[in-house]
Amino acid sequence: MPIDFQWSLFKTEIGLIGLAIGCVVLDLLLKDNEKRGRVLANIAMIGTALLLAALPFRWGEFGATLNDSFVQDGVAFFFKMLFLGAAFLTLFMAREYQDHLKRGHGEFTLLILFSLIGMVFLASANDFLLFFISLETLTISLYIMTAYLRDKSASIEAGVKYLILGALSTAVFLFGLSFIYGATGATGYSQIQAKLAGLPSIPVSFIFGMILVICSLGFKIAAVPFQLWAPDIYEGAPTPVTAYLAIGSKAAGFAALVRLMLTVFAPAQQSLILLLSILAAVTIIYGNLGAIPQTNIKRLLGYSSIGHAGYLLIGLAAFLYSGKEALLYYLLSYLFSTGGAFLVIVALTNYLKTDEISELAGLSQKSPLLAAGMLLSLFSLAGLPPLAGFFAKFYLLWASVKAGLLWLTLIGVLNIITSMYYYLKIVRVMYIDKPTNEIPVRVSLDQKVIQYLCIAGILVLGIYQGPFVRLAELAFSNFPK
Amino acid sequence: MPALGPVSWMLLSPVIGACVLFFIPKERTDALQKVAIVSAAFSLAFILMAAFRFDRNIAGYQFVDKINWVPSLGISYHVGVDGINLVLLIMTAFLAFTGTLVSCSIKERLKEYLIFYLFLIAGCLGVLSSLDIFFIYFFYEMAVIPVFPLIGAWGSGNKEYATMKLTLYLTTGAVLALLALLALYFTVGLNTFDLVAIEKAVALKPLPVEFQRWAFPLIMAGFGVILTLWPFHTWSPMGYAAAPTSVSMLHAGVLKKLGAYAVIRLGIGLMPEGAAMWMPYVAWIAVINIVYCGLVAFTQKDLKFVLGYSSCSHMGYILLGLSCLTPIALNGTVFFMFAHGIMAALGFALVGFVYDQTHTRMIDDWGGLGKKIPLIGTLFVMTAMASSGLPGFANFIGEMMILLGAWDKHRWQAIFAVAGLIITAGYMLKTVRACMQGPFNPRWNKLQDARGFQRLPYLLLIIILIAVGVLPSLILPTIASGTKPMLEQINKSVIARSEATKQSMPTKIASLTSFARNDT
Repeated sequence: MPIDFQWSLFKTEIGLIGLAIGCVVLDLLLKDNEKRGRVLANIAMIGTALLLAALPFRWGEFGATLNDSFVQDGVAFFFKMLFLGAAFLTLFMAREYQDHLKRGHGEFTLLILFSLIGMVFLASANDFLLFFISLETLTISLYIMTAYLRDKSASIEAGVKYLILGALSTAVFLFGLSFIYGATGATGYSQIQAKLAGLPSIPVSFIFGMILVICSLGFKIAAVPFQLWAPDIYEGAPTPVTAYLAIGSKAAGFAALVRLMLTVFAPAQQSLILLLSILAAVTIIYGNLGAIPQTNIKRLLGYSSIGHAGYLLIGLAAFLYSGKEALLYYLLSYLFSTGGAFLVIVALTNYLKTDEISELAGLSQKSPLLAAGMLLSLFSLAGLPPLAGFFAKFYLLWASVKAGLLWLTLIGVLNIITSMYYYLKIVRVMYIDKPTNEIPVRVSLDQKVIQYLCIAGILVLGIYQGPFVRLAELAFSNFPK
Repeated sequence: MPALGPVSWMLLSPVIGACVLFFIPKERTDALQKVAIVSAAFSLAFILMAAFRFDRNIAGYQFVDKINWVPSLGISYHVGVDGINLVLLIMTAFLAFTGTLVSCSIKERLKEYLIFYLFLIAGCLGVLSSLDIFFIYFFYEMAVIPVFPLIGAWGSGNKEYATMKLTLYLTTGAVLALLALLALYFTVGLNTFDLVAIEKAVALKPLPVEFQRWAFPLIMAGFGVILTLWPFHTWSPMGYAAAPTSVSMLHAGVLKKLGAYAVIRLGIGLMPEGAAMWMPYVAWIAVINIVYCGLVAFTQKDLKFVLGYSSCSHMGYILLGLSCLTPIALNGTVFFMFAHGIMAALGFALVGFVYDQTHTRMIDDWGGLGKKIPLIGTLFVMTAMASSGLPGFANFIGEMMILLGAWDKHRWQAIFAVAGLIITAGYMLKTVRACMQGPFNPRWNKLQDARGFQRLPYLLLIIILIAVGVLPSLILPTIASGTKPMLEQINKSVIARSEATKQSMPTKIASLTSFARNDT
């Protein structure tokens, strides 16, 4: 069988691999360890920014290659933009975080790039094998990054936990895949679809395999009942890695699920609605209730990220009723909101001894910009207008009412209140409590620029939603409604 | 972009003001104050301009601006005024202007305060002027949020608990209403959030009765929380006691009325049959509000708590007015909303003025202050009288119309509500006697009366209160022009089916009603 290979479809991927290899070479050439980390991070940031900026201009360069196992379409483009954006923010955070790493400053940047390559391929994977390889590329880089603080037991513990549970989820995935392969005799999405269309009814073994695959991806996105790792690992991992887990890895899980829902799972979509909506409801409730008693900000964000995974699952449950567009919008808003919050935490790591919320006391007087950035991010996560999170939640709930899932909508709206309670607690500490010490907080110019970027993203997505809704709809334009 | 009309500019000026404030260094308090006052003044000017050009004889909304916002969801930026929201917008703009004047006395972190405050104003104006359900909700939440830091950081007393409670209560109500609104969107099935289009569709083909039966209570209770519907009222006195003066002014004056406005527009306007089904119960709750909160106000020792419970008690009259669904009661309700907004804000402003100097609001600590600060003292007495419903002040007209309407529809409730008037008079007189009259407490020898420009906000508000009280025709015909289509709708859908209720109007008042009806 001749391999059809269309180089022009791989521009982003080739660019990224080139960037990563360039960084490896530079890592060898540069001497000074500290400086090396910064230089590499800067280069990687510029590279990802350029690739990100190029994507909108290349919109429309769609197609499929490698016997249909790799596709470029609207969905892939959208998720690639999201991943590049997430990686850009993470690289910036990693650069600011350099001083806390004992060694391996350069490799930290490299790992981020490698996992990014995994994500970018994942968004385009149209074959279970490519899908698996890219998922593992992403996850293995993340295992290493999670355990990067080798002298802190919390970090090591988080890394090991993540590794063991991740390996388990991989096993579940492969188990499920074997059923799907057994039922259809193919690993390519298009072939599986063609095969299923020829069968009189969907085989039970296929359904079983499908549920196992969803379970394993449920681990990636931290959905109940596969969420137990999230709070511990969010707390233990270095802060930039936590951010990356929240905005990158979670989005990657959803990229995979969206692609599967559009192709392989499409015939069984109707029967998945109940399962997904129950998962969504339980996840929302667990995440939001779990976040209430937390006093560590990273742990709190870990629980709240479970809650957000629940909201995103509403998008999957209402997939056929505009839920998919709402999901993309939510991910975009989540990128800016969570990114903004983690930027503040990273900027403060030099001033804070612990990640306790009480350490933020009086931040609004010490650094109005950081406090405002945190305030807007948290309000956006809670879903308050005029910020991005508000419209994202509104859009999702709208879709869920459209799908007739009123009970799920009710759970969704009630948990807005729960989430407001714990986000407001942080705001209260920043704005109402008096500062405990007089150490002024300095904010570098770069930090300011990136922070303003996130704030702008939160505001624009919250006020002028039209173009972004259009973008989310365009992403699905080559799929039938 | 099409040219924007006065209503849009009214809405935009506080937003622009807040953005300008952002770039002014925080040390330049003078410039900060000027920008804030000017932007609030522009808001007021634009809405007054609209009011003068408003034509009562044209049906429908005027000064409409419409821009497609998110076409695929049917969301558009759509603002405009009819008789109902024009009147409320004028009140809001006046309170925003006076509130901004008052808030210039803030000493700490003025810049942040003013930015939050201007956003609060924009949220209030937005709810009242929007003609798109999405944006009504959007602005409603936007008005709830800035209050959290405003009370939390600049408030007094048990402020952290109060602000958390207030925010959570109000948002809970809002999200419940959101559920009903989303369901409404799909029940109408036009794929639009545009209120005008939905109103037209509902006029032709009413919403299914089944839907109205469960959606109306969600709207009523959801927006009722901010209207301090009993038993969801407890956030309010506590919140007002903790809030800085200008926030109490806007919150008691405007934010509560936003709930009533949303019930009128989205509840009664779109679901008249659901309203008819549930309103008898609401009328009883209204009585509980009036009597219970009034009695609680009697026992309070902190002045702001007295005013807070008093305002909860007054909300009972608004609820009672809403529950009647008759012309005189509905017009009276909107009129009372206007009057109570001005009166409540004035009350809080006056208490705040004295508190700034005395740093205590306990009734027992004050005493005989009328001798020392005659102007503020006089205004305080006048506000108390207005609050008790003395003729000559605008509140009297509103309460009278509501009670007359209630007499026809809900006679027993009306009897209790009249008793509530006595309770109000009781605690107001008690408070006046203890604070402004009696032996002078020598502790307050250094107390200063309002001077120069300081007097402007108070005098402005009392003048409006008296002017509208003496000449209700200033706003009543405008209100009637706004409620007319809604009342026709109610008549058509409800009264046509049930037997027509007998109208027994005392002749003395017939003139008042007839002019409220005919002048439209």
